[in-house]
Amino acid sequence: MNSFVSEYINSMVLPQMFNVDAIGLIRLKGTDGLDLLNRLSTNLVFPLEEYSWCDTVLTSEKGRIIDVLRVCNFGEFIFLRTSKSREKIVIDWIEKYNFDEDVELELVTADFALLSIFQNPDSDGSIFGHSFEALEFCREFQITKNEFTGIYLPNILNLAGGDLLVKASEIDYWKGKLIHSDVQEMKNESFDLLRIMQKFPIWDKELSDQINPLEAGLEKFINFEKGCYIGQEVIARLDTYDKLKKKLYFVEIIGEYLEFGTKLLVDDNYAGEITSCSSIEINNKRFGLAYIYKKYLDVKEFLVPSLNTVVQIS
Amino acid sequence: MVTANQKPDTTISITEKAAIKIKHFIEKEKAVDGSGLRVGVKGGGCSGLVYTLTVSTDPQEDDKIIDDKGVKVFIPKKSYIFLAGMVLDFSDGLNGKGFTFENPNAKKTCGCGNSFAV
Repeated sequence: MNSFVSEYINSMVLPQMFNVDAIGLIRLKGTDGLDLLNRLSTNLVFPLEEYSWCDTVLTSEKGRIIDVLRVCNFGEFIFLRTSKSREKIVIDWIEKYNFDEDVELELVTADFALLSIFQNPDSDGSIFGHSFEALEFCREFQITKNEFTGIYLPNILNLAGGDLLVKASEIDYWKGKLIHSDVQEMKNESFDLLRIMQKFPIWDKELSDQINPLEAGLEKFINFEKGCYIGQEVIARLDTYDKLKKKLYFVEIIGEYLEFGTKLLVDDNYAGEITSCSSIEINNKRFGLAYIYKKYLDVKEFLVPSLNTVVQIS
Repeated sequence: MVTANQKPDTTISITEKAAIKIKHFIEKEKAVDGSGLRVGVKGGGCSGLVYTLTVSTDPQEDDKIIDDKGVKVFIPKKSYIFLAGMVLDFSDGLNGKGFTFENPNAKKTCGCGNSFAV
């Protein structure tokens, strides 16, 4: 966790919740689901113990991203969290390689809502208490003496707290319950700031089908020991021979808000571009994510001359 | 070369070497009479599809059955379109690769030879 995130989270007196609608959800049933996912994606998802989870990346034969998945194994079924509006593409991709396997995929995005809870782990105001911290893996959540029921997932940004997956039709009920427990609503701008600080890439900004997982900083979702999966040869070659041309970096922006695609220059040469920029400023700085070309990494400072803005790799 | 009037050869065939090895494996597994080699594909590998080989005691309902050089080969219906015209060979010796697949449907094959794309 970078120091800005720690500072932000530690400044939270009360827990905060955010209704994350920028996701897709697929329910996978059948005995071969994890085995098939393991053959199609970068991380070791088979075997995956019940009530545990794993992040992985579906990649094409060229090693480019189809989507980033969070695989949550609930035993009787598996939830796949996808990027927003990528669910159908993910289903089609998995179905393409589903021959005789016992795998059934169902699009369930509209049936559920994801409430992400963020809390200061040291705060007395934690609604989950200390026992919640022990829940490292997904399992049915029971908060304050079984008052709430639903599904507990790890926090989407891997921060202290957790995500509650509830029926979409009951979202207002859950929000009401949480507000009653002194949980505040988090604004879009704050969630986006945390997302940027956590280097959490999203589709159509940091992620596209022209980007590979190494460029997007998703190495932690790649198991280099697991053997073959689609795209493995390309990814292994890029890693072994250090062939990446650009990479995603967390940046500090001194100056104006920078739109997606803003070009970063070094001595009038194109050195990279902005993918995300926070609308919130802290100590006269904004925060962002940017793809920077490798040959300019030593520079560490980039210019957007038209906006008189400086961007620094943090 | 296939001309406009010629149909491509969609028969799956096995070489003498492959037939000997298949018989050996069937005997080793103490399989019953009528057993054969089930050849299919599944998703995975570096290029998207990988070959699967198993000794099978009986074909499944939709399997295409090929009898070549005294060996039965069972091919699942869904896999057949990816395997039509394939020659199954066996490469032995110190640098041998085991069973090899000369598959006219494979546009790209990965380094190990077990995975292909169509």
